[in-house]
Amino acid sequence: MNPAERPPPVAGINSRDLDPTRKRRAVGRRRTGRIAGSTDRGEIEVTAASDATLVIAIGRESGSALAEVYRRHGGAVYGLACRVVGAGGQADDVTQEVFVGLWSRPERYDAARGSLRAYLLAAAHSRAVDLLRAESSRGAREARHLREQSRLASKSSLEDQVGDSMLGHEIRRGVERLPADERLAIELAYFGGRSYREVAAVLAEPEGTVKSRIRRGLRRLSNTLEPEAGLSGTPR
Amino acid sequence: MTHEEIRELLGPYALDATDPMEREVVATHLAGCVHCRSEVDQLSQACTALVLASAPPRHIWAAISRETRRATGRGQPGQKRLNRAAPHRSAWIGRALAAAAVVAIAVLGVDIQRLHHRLDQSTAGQGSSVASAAQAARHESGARRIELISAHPAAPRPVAEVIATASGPAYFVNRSLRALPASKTYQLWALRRDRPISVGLLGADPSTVGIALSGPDATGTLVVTVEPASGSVTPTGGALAESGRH
Repeated sequence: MNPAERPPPVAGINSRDLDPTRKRRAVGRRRTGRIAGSTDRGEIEVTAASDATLVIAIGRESGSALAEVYRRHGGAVYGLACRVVGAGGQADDVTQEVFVGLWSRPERYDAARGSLRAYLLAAAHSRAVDLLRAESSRGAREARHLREQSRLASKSSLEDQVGDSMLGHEIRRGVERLPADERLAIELAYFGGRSYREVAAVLAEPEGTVKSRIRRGLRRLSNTLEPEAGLSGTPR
Repeated sequence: MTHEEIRELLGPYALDATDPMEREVVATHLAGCVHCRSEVDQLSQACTALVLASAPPRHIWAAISRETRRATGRGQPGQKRLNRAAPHRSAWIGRALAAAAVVAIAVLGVDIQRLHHRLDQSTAGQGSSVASAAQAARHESGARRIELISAHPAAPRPVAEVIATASGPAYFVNRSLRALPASKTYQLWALRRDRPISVGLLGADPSTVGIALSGPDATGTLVVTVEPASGSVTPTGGALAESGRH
């Protein structure tokens, strides 16, 4: 059919043209059931694929894509879980739930809103805090406080962790350069699983002060990650 | 709560450090405020700077692997997924289920990835050979022809069909779906445990396309939607045509 005869390119059904014997233009380009950039060809492409591409492949039930995401981010997720609920069965459960959750609902990840790691860490943190708050055993609470004390006592609470090629040198310095009060508020809240009210009680500071320290500290960290696109140091 | 009061809570919110009620208030606000949502996203992103990674533990992967295999129905039925609420399920899935009486099928465990790969290799790329392969497939013993009926309420007519062979290869044959602009594509989905799984991209102007269709998917409901050219993980377009409609 020459271009002049083609019906206007309106998507949908052409109710006037239902003749199955009508000749169609031959498809010149190979069309396969493959999403552009998908990685279901094997190991090598999976390793080179972007996080967003891997999530699309997970949406098509690619086990190797999930494995690669786990390889990249499982350590961070597990590390965070351990720091919040302590190493052991609960940390394992949190990690497992995060990745099974990604497998079940990959469409929840929106690459435009942040990195896959940020998404997975947020899921892990939320789950870990739920477990913490459900915890009623006094022994577990005390163990947690001991863990926290030893962590805060060390000069840098990040010293005991292995370096990660994903985070550059600047970012690490960014955390260490946070004003002590902002960093402490963030650590007590984030790793301690505390609400800002509980942090205020621990520090014997006003709640408003704690809220703004947390926000300021995170904005500073955000600027370390993305100095141009980030937020200004002082909240508006 | 004033907007300023909510803004003061964004930091704690990003750290899961608010009261449950405050969390609800902020969450509701974020649904309608792009500026605050953008700030929360950036604050969440900043948390990645707080966590350094080590090698992922292997023993947990074994558990993840087991559970995701179960969720896709290989081996034991994926009861977990059936029972889980699906709040983001779009309206048309419910309609398709009601219309088509989808049956819970024991999965044969066909490896979709291998099917895709095999098809990539066997499909020569010449339109005419795909069309003739589809023609030949129609007459294969055990082959099934699945009509895709227009979702248009006034004109429920077949607009395309799928030929599914017993041996493996399947074909999408367009009849009257019109050409889309280059920024879009038709995408074919199979409903698996009331969740749409992509069968493949059909292109903006498909005639006959080789597709990979596992056994159970061929007996379930198939749906065609319009998606962005690079495809989607989950349908964003409404159902254009479905199998099993009457």
